Amino acid sequence: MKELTILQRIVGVFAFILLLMSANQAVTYERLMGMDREAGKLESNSLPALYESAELASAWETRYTLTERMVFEIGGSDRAGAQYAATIAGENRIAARYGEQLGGDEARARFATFSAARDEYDAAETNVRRLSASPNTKGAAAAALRDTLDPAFAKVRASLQSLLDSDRAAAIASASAVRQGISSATIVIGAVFAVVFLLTLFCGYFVQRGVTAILHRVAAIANQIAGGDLNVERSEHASGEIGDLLAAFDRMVDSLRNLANSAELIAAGDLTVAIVPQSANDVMGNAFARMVNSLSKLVGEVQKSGIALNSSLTEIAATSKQQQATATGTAATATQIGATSNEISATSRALVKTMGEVSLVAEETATLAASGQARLVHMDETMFSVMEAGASINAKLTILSEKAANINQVVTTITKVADQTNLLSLNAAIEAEKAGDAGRGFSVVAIEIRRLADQTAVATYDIEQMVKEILSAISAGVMGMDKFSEAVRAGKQEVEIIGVQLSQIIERVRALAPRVEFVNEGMQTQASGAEQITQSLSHLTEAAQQMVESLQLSTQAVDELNHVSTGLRGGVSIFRNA
Amino acid sequence: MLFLLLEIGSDRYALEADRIVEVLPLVAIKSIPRAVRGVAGAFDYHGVAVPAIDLSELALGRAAPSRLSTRVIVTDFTDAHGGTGLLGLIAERATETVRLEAAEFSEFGLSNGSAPYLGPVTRGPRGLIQRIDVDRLLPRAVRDLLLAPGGPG
Repeated sequence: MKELTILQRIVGVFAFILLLMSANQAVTYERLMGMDREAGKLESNSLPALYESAELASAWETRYTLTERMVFEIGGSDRAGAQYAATIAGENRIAARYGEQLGGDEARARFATFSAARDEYDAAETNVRRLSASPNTKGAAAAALRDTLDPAFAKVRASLQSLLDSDRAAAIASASAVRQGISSATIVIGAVFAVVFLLTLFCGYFVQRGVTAILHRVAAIANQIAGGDLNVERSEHASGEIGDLLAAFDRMVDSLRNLANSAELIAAGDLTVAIVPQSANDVMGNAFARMVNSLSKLVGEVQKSGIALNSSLTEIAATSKQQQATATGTAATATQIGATSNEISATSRALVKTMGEVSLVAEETATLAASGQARLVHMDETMFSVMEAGASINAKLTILSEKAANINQVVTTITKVADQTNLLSLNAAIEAEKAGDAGRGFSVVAIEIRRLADQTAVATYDIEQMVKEILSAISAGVMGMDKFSEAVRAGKQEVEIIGVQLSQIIERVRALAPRVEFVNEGMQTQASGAEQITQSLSHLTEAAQQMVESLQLSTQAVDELNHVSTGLRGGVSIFRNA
Repeated sequence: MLFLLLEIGSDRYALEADRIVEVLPLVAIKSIPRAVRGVAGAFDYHGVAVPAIDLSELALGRAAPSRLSTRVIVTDFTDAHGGTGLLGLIAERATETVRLEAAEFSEFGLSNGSAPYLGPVTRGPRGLIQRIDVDRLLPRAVRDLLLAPGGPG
């Protein structure tokens, strides 16, 4: 049979399925429209009629109750009157609306019955309300209510009930019609769905079978190519998409064969082979072209690098020898540093000893300062006794002053005696003069006596002067002693200050001792540190010798590397560069 | 003639020994209120109240200082009416006598109206010495006043 293309098959099946679904939709739509009609009837006719007939019944009950209350209660209130008027108006409005939407002769006949009963009731009620308005006719009103209004109201109620019943029956009929429409629609839609499902299944199978057979063949060819086997049999005249696919496979195989040939040439070292990519999107061709390009650059660089490597290796060998010499030098330097470190250690120990001596000297200083302090205390006592001595000297001077004053008294007495003597001699001389010649000798005696008295006066004057000098000397002495006492007191204070300073010195010197100890510890730590440095340096020396050995080893490694580099250059030389 | 030397201020004067009864130390003198200038007061001399003249106050207007050498000289006093009595003279430095002749004194030709008691002068070992006339020492009114109640006549 003439095979259809895959596209033709798929389009045909899709069109068929679309047709089936449209038929299904048409049936469903028709059914839903029938149900909508029934529901519209229910909504616009039956339910409002039912509601309004019920409302009408309620209004009538209210109207009757109001009239009844008017009759049996004494007097009518304005509020009851207004309510009655509103009820009448509402009832008329509902009745008018109900009358407008009536449909069918039967319904109109029922509404005519209700209208007749209503007219009868209106007449009776008007009569009752008129009677009830006057208190005198209350009894008649009650009788009229009982005899005429109640039967009229019973008729109205009966006609209302028949309206309500017929409306209810109409509503139930509409609802059941809707439900019947739904159940029949369900059956029809289910049947149509089953037919569509089966037909679709059949079409799917038909399409799948055709496509799978072709794909199996193509997959076999692709697997062969994926396995690296390019000896694919040429496909015979195939048409449609499969024909195109097979032709593409053939082109791919050709291109792969070309690349394989080029790779063979490259493997043989021929980098002059020309690879022309089929297009900018030819990933493999482009990659091959870039590979050949990169390879030829790489080979060129490897050849250059081989030469550079050789010269570098020569330099490395030279450098390694230099490092060897440097390491030997390092070992020698480390030994020298070790010697220096030992010297530092020795110096530190000497310093430790010196610090011990310093500590001893500080202790001696403290001792000396303490003894100085003790002597100062002794000196303080001496000062005190000096002050006491000064006070006693002052007392002696006072006594001396009193003695001098006593001398003064004696001198005064002598002066008085001399004065008396002078007076006596004067009077004697005067008496002798009066006595004339007889008193001449006596006159001489009187003159002599007066001369003695005058000499006595002169002597007493001298004594007086001397006593005055002594007294001024004593007062100068007292003043001097006062100054001396002041100086001694100041000296005592100085001694006390020196004592305080000495105790401070002692404290400082004692505080010095732990610091010296601290320095001592630091020195010892330094000495041990220097020893550790020495040890580390000996380790360093060993390490330097090991380094020398390893450098010799690395020199050998460089030689070997040189050999390898030469081999590499030989290997690379098989490539012919473009 | 024997003279007693005395000083008024810094000048030296001489008093005849014949007229001197006794030289006394500076005794207690009872002052007289509202007395004439120069009259120091009165003192007791052997039971007799004797008026005392302060020569320093009389001549210089200042009282004689209270010293051992300041003494009271008790003199015989004869006034112009012949009445006699005792008169105390307070004099400074009355400690020496000197023997002089009356002829050695000479007037120095300068009359002093307000001090009639000052007489002629002579030259002594320490400068000029002027004689004092006891009888002329007091002004008349004072002399009368002093001697009237106590005088013998």
